[in-house]
This record gives sequence, structure tokens and C-alpha cells, in this order.
Amino acid sequence: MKSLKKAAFGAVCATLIAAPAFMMGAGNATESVEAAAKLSIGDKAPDFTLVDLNGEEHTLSDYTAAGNTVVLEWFSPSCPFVIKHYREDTGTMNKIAADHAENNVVWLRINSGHTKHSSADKALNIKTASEWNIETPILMDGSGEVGKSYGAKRTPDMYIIGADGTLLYHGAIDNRSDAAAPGKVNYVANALEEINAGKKISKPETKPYGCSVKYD
Amino acid sequence: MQSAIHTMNTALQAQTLTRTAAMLLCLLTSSKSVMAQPNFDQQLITSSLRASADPAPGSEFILAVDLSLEDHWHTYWPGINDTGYGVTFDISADPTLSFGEPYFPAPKRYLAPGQILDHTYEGTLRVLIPVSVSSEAQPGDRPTIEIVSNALVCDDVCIPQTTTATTSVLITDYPVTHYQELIDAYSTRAKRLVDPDVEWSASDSTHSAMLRVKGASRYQFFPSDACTQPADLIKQGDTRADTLTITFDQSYSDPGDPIRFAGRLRVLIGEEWQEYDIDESTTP
Repeated sequence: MKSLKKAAFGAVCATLIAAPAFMMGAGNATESVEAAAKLSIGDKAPDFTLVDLNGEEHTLSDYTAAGNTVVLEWFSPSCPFVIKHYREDTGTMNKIAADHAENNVVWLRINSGHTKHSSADKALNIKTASEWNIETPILMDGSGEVGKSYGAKRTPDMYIIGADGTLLYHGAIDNRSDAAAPGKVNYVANALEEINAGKKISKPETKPYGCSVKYD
Repeated sequence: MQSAIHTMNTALQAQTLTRTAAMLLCLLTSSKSVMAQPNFDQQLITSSLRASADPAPGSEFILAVDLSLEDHWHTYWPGINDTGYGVTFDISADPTLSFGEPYFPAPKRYLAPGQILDHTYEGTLRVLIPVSVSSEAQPGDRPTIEIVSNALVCDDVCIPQTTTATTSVLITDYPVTHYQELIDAYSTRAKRLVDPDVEWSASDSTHSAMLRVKGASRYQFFPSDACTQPADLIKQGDTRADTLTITFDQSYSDPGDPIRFAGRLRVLIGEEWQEYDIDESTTP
């Protein structure tokens, strides 16, 4: 009986909360598993505009049109595979971003977690950015639209977009797929070195690993 | 007219206020707040060990590792998943005991928004490990077995956890069976498909394997870590047809590597599911 009451109460809550969204034309629940993109190396990267934690807009094509290479890192402050790259003893992401900042490389983190998940909580992301010394933007994609347009499934899931707007690299950050420590081979750092040297990326596609992007 | 509009506005305001209050009440009173922070210290997976028998020197027994997950949390098949990683074991025991390959049951497909497919376990997961006893073992000895299970446990967040369990077995002159069901479960585990009917096809960029099992009307495929990355497991990994076609994505493999079609199969024949292991490749 108690559980029935709880279920009924929950249903009322859900209806009340969902009603305005439904009236505003929110997506049908049966379409919750949308088709995801499968981008191939050399494809035009989907353009997007997202807002960062300070409320500032960032548009991919603005960066590429200015001659920048853009690294997109799918991000979650709660995922152990992300955390291992931001620990004091590792600092993988910040280090690579800093090493290449002068080579016209822009590093954007995207959090595509649905707003109902704690990992997509703006306050948590602000706190994390401060604690992890993240200096480049964390873009919030609460609808998951941008993540799905790239087919991003994991955190971290890494994409490198060239100044011509095409996809140059997609895959893992490195070659160690557990949550304990970074791998010895960093695919993104290697790819950025090769781009900077005007070479072809020797390993443009690797298998990403990490937590699932919490789209729902 | 103005009075009617005023009345309507007042009614709408009241309705909005009521709804806002109800939403706040729901959020405040629901058992799981939407923004609840994960408790990284909570133990979400526990383990226990059970040996099928007190073995004799030179014999074999089955060790069950029972992993129990808290409600709503899942862990992963030790094969290909879109995210996460499979359970692994660190085993410590007397050198008179040697451990075979852990046998995992077939997982469940877990399809999440964003075309994310994982193969997962919820509730209780029983992994069976065959253990051989050296003929050098001495009757009367009681070697201890310790297994540390490493698992990525996920719900809204993912937390890597370990759980440790120990047991001991008494070495006897004559084996004493305690849990016949473990022996039965291991003996009825999925066996490798013998001489499977697999037809390979290739185009410029893809390879496909077409498997036909006599009498089959549905297939589920769970690739092992050794399998070449399938290209579209969401569509092809659960097929209602008399053949199973798996297309492989070679972009993650080194050029020249053979295509390997390896993992666990569940096959519906008549009204019964049967399980097999498969490991076929384009070059022997």
C-alpha cells in the first residue's frame, strides 16, 4: 500500500512537472533513443553554438574560421575516467591544452549530460572547474543535441576539428582504458603534434573509453 | 470584458502558483532528489565465494564468485561495451590450486539514449571458475582462496569499486561435494560452436560474417574483447531471423589484422534459448 501511494505520488509529480514541457512541444518519450551520427574522419564537423558556465556563447565555426584547430572533450565531473586525467598527479587534459594553446589550438569541454543528472549541475561544474584548474570553457549541452550530432557516447570522448571544419581525429584520449592512471601513449597529444608539424595524423581513429554520456 | 480578463489572469496565476508549489513539494519530498550528489563511499557491490566440493589431490572443483549489486546499479560484461569495462578478478591462493578461465553468464543488452549499447548485469551475478588441485596437495591441508573483484558500477554516475571475498577448501582423500548445482551449472555452460556455418563477405570498407544455426529464429550476440569491433551492434546484435549477420568496423584495428568474430551467442531454437561461444576469423 505504501509503495502504491508512493507510486501514485510520483506519477502526480511527474505529470505536474512534465505538463508545461509537454505543452511547449517537448519531444515524444518514444523518440528518446534518437539516431546518433557516425562521423567519419574527413567529414564536416557539425557546427554548434553552446553557452559556457559564465553565460558566454561559443560557436565552433567562429573558432575554425579564425584559423584554429579545436579539440572537443566530452566531459563529466563525476566520471572516474575523466577524473583520472584531472588529478594533481596526472593533469593530462590541462597540460595538453596549455602546451598547444600557442599553436592556435582551442580546447572546449562539452557536458552533454541531461540536466536532471547531478553531473550536469551547473554549480557542480563551476566548482569542479575551479578545483581542477580548468581555464578553458566548459560548454553545457543539457539537451544532448550537440553530443548526439557528433555521436559522442563516452566521457571523455575526444574530437579534433581542423581549421577547415573537418574532423581530423576521433577516439580515446590515450591507450589505457581503466580508471586508474593515464596511458603511456596519448593519442590527442600525438595528433596535435602532427597537425602542428603539418603532418598527416598517423592514428586518426581510436576506440574511446569511459562512462556513458547521460543523455536521459 | 476587462473584468473577465482579470479573472482569467488571476486564475492562470493561481494555477501557475499551484503548479510551482506542487513541483517544489515534489522535489523536496521525493526520495531521490534530482541533484543528489553521489555517495562515492557507499559500497555498491559485494561478493562471496562458494566451492562446489572439498577436493582430492589431482581433482577439480568449481568455485562460484557471487557478486551482488545494489538496486538500480549495474556492472559490465567483460567484452565489448560502448562504455564501461568488465569485471576482473585478482586471485590469491596456495600454489597447489590453479585457476581456469572465469565463466560469465550472458549479459543483458542495455540501450541508452544517444545510441549507447552496453552489455550489463544487475542484481546478482554468478561467475564460475574451474579450479584444479595439484596432485602434490596434501590431504588435511586447508588452502585459502582470496578473490578481489574489480568492477565499474554505474547508475547516474560510475564508480570503480572492489570487493574482496575469501574461502577455504579442505583437501581430502575422497572428494566431498557440497554444491552439486555449481558443477551442473558449469557443465551446462555455453560450449564453443563446432564447425559453425559462417559465411564471410567483404566490400571495399567492410567485412561481414553471416552465421546460420539450424532451426534458429532469433540471435543475440555479445562480443568478447577479442572480437573485431562490430559496426552496428544495436541493429545486428539482436536479430529475429534464421541467420545472424555481423558487420565489422575495422577503423579501430591495425590494417592487416584478421577480422575476428568472437563472443557469446544466445540462439532461440523452437522455444528454447541455447548459448554458444564462437571464435571465428577471416584467417585461421
